[in-house]
Amino acid sequence: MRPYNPYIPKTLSELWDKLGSMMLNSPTFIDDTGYFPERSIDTEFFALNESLKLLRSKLGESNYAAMVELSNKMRAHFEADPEDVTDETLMGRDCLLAMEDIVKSLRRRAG
Amino acid sequence: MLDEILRKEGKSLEMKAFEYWMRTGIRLIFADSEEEGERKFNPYHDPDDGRFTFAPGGGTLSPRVSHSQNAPSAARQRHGGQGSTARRDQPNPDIASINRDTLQGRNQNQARLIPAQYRPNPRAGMRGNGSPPLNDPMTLDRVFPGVATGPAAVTGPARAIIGIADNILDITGPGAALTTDLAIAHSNMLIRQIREVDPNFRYDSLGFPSSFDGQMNLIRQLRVERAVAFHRVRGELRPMQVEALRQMQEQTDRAYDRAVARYNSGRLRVRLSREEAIGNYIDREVRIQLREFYNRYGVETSTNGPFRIIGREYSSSGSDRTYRIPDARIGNIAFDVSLTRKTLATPQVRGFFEADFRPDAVVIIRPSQLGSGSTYRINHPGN
Repeated sequence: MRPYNPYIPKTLSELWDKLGSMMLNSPTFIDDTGYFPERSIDTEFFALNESLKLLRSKLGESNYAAMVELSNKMRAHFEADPEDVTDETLMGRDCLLAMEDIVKSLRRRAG
Repeated sequence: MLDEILRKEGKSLEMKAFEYWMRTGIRLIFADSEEEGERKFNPYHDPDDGRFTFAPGGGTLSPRVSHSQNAPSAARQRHGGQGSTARRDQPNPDIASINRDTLQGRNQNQARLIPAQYRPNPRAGMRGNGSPPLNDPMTLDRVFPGVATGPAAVTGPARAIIGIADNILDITGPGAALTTDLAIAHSNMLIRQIREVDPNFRYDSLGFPSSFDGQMNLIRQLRVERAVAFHRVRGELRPMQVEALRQMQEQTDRAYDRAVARYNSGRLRVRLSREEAIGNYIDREVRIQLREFYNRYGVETSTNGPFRIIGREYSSSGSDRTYRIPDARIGNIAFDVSLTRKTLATPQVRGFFEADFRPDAVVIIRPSQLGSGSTYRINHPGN
């Protein structure tokens, strides 16, 4: 099998898609389709954080800092509730919604 | 496992082998059979319709039954008889080499079915693999077979819609039990086909997967590798259209269940309606997974190349330049993921067909959970 290198979103539009995907696949992000058996919470957050670095200039410093903080909080919530049985996963998804708000406002501004 | 399947289906091993041969043209033998002797059979099948045909160069009808030095002990076979040729069997593939240079591992069932004679299509043709035991379409024409149909009372736009064949994107297909031996045979066939297109293809393996899921994943990956080889070496896009569709359909189905669950837990942003919210998240998931899919197999997406994801497709036909944005495009086929049913009457679909790239068809991908005929192909009105 070819080695798995997670895709790093390169534009705000792709980051927007990534956040939507993370909403659906949280809290463990394990792939059950068979296409990406190596996928994990590690690979997903690697991709997200690398994308934030790539888009730092487009995000602006304060948005970038906010996104990084939300990403870290979100991960902690998901790791605390891998079975999705407590409120931790819900709180993690709230972080995702907050990140979506930031990206949406930037996309709107960019037209 | 094989014995259990035979018991459930009430069939003998010989009958199962015969059915397999009818579907694929591959003759299976029993490792422990003591039968000797040649029997007449016709190994040549037209891959278009699976019917018997002549060997290259034409055939002759002869009552003589030839003996081959390599004729294996074989299950008794009954054949249709037309165009039978009396000729020597082709040498059997090196059974050991199937394990040596492709995959390891064998089922240790008492009655083992060993692929006795496989003749790969020398051109790894595009017409698919006839009627394989595992659904393995290589073009969208196989996925959406037959002529355009629609309600008898409806003419015009509805008649351009072609439904997806039942279970065609499932790995195993209807009623086909994926035994380890079938999985090995199919995997070997895929590797041979890939090598016929790309002789440099290497398959490095630690061994044939023992689990059902592992075997399905292997077949899935090899099919994609085959599609990639066709694209990279021959510039042929059609197998990739099928594999991308397979991937998008699976992701759509999975995303639908999860999006509904998230909506029910109040975690989806609703702007217009429940369907809009669910559809929005499905779109996003399918697109990012398609990027991952292309990324994994080294397929480049670009504004000018044949592989595009939510690219603007412009139309210069009117006085003003307009555009539509299908979720994906591969060559001359546009793909759009949707919850709602779309037809030629839908402005968005009309806009796709008016785009400068002039698609031959638009494939609408909808969650399978919405019922049969959820995914379908709309042909260009002029086709």
